[in-house]
Amino acid sequence: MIFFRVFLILIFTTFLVAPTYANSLFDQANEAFSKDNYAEAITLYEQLATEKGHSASLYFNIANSYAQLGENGKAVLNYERALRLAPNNADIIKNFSYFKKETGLFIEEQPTLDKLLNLLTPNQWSLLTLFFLVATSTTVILWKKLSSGSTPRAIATLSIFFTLTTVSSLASAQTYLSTASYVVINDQKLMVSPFKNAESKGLIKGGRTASVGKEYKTYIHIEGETGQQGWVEKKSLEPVIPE
Amino acid sequence: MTHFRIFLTLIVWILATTPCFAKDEPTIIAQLNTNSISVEKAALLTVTVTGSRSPDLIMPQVPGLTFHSRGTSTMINMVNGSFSKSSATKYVVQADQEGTYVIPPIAAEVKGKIYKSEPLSLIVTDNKAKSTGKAVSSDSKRNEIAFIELEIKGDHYVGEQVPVTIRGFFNERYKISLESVPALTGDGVIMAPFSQQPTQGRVRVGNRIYDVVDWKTTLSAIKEGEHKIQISLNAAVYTREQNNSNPFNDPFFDSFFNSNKKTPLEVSSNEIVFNALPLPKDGQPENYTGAIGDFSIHLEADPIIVDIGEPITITTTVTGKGSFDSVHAPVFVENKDWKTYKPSNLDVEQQDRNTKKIFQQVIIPRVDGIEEVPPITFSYFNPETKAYETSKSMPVAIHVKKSKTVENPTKTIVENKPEQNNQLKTESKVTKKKLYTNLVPQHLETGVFHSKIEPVFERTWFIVLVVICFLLILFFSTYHIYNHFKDTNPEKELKRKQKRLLDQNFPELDKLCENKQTDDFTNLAKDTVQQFYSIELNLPPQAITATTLEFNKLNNTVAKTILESADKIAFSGERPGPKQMEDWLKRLKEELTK
Repeated sequence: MIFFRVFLILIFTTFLVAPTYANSLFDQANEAFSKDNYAEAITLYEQLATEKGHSASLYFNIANSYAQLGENGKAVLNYERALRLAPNNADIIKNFSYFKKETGLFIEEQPTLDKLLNLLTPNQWSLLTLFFLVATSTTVILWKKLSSGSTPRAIATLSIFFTLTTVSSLASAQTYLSTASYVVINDQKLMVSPFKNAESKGLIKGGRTASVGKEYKTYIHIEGETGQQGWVEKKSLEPVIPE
Repeated sequence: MTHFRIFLTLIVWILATTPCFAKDEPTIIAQLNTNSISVEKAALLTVTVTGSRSPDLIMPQVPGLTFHSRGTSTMINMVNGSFSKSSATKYVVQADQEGTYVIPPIAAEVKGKIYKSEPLSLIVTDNKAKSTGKAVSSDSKRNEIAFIELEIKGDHYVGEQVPVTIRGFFNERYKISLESVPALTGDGVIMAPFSQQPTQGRVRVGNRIYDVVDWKTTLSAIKEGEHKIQISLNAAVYTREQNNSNPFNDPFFDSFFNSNKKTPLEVSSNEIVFNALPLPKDGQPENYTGAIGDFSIHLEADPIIVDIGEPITITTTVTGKGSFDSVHAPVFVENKDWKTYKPSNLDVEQQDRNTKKIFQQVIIPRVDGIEEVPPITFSYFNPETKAYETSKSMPVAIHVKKSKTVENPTKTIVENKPEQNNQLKTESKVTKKKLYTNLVPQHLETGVFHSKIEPVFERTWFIVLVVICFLLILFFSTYHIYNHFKDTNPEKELKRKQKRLLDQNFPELDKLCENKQTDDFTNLAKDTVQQFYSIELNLPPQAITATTLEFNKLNNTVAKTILESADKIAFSGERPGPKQMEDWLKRLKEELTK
């Protein structure tokens, strides 16, 4: 019995202490940021991320710190991570757009269809689809109980909504999955082949997102968001979704 | 009707979702524009991959052949409602020496799978006379229709961007359409893409009038030596074809009955020698990074009043004419007074005839009392003067104050070394001035922590829930449809009605029989029989008599007996005894519930 009580107390204490520790570290980092000590702020934020996991606000703060340090690549990387967790967060969108504009990074003009898709985030589309799927299945299950002239009409309407949201969900998921998933950390030479002395095809700016292709030793073939292609060193890229 | 609606809904559903899963198998096709070239010419290799817009091409290594990538174009097609995507990557293929080459299958990686093209063969000849003979536009008839003029004066240096005007002359008497833009053939020289629309005019050459189209571009040698180059483009000449089908035999009607014939025409310039000289070694400055042209440099710094250890952003602008690809950032070199970071490219701007390339570099003063950011120099090779020149910016006046907070400014926070992947080092409490003042402030709450960055649609619970919902819909739809079919069967409906009738009347008959209420029993038994058979025969109950049953071959003896006895009771007063009632009821139950 005593053992059980000690166990309960330990569990309870853990739940109490864990958020306090996280908040304390977060506050310390914010304080360092407010004193323009961005490097220290980043160290504390990243320590928190390593220990507690991923949070949109945490990545947002890290991105702002890197932006103030002039580390464009790292700033973009962390804004992208924050957006993956909270795609509709107005603060993240505002700072990321402003930062891209200020640093001359590529801002893609979205086609109308994409604008429509972006009315909701991929997660919201998925949940909406799930809602209509559950609603349709519930109506089908309770057919007998609901038995009235309007039941088939209700099912038809729900099915149409479900179909529309499913199509939007799939398109949104496809866009999410095909979005460039790596960020170039520093300005890099794009090379025609994966060798040290290979001919350069031009520069890719630090902070540009890229999708990766085949690999050769320490080199990887990338396609930047502006369509530039070439080989760069693997270590010059970082994945948006941490491994 | 309800069933039809459900069926229609399911069909719409399936049709709407099916195309999302349709997928074509990718294919790869490699094609050469010619199977035979001379050593100093190039062939165009096009690799088309259908089913993917960004395949990873794995180009084979062929000793003696060089593949120069000329970019990728992508396309989306819609055929019969299904979408397909494709990409075409172009390579210029050049050979070092004559011979027959086999280009092995070109592989493309699409979504993790490897697809291969067919192998190609390319014959390379060393027949210079033959190749140059074709290129020289000595055909007088062709020259009369169209020709290209290109003039390159003097010698040029490797990497120098030589502005040229390609002039296409097209005889105004011919109806000519352009099928392509001018293309360069030849080794060792590359032509920049046309960034401007061509200009048009009209000139007289001899006694002919030509429409002239001018394309402005630049040529640049990629290796030294004498390179033979030629400019050509594809056009088509439309000539009127005489047609004997004019039934009126009058020239007035010729335009109605004659047709235009399109004849392909290759318009080429004379072969020109582009002499590319190597850059001189003598007098090359130490900080020369390969820029060729005529440039000037301008320096700005912000802020200009700082504490020790506070960063200053210097913006260096290189303006001028020349090859900006080879213009790299002029570097402010670190010294005892200044800590510096790696410069970065900020922007490239085009202004009239000049181009502007802007770089930024962060520098940090290490000592107080510094009064200026020293001038920055930029060296380049000027092909006009044929000498290396160095442009020097003006110094920028600044004021560096002693910092109250910084103890040791030489210990910095960020070591901006790309080789070390920009690892942050927190060695001191040096602060850095805000680069951006309009950012939304930091969040004060951490928010929810997630163990993984994963979208909802990839999470297990979501997938399981979707599958369960689909299975439930499938199961219950099938169940309801089955029941619906079962319930709407007319024969079963009649049986159900009859069963309801018997369930209602038999307990009543049992009671009457028990209480020996003969008249009531006989009447209810008669009603039961009449109603039972009226359902089956679709007749009014009054019409059911013993004769009706006999006529319809319903040989239910007890039913007939009951009907006859009921009539007898009405007319003669003869009543059945208790045993007979019990017997009738027993037989009636047996026969009607069969």
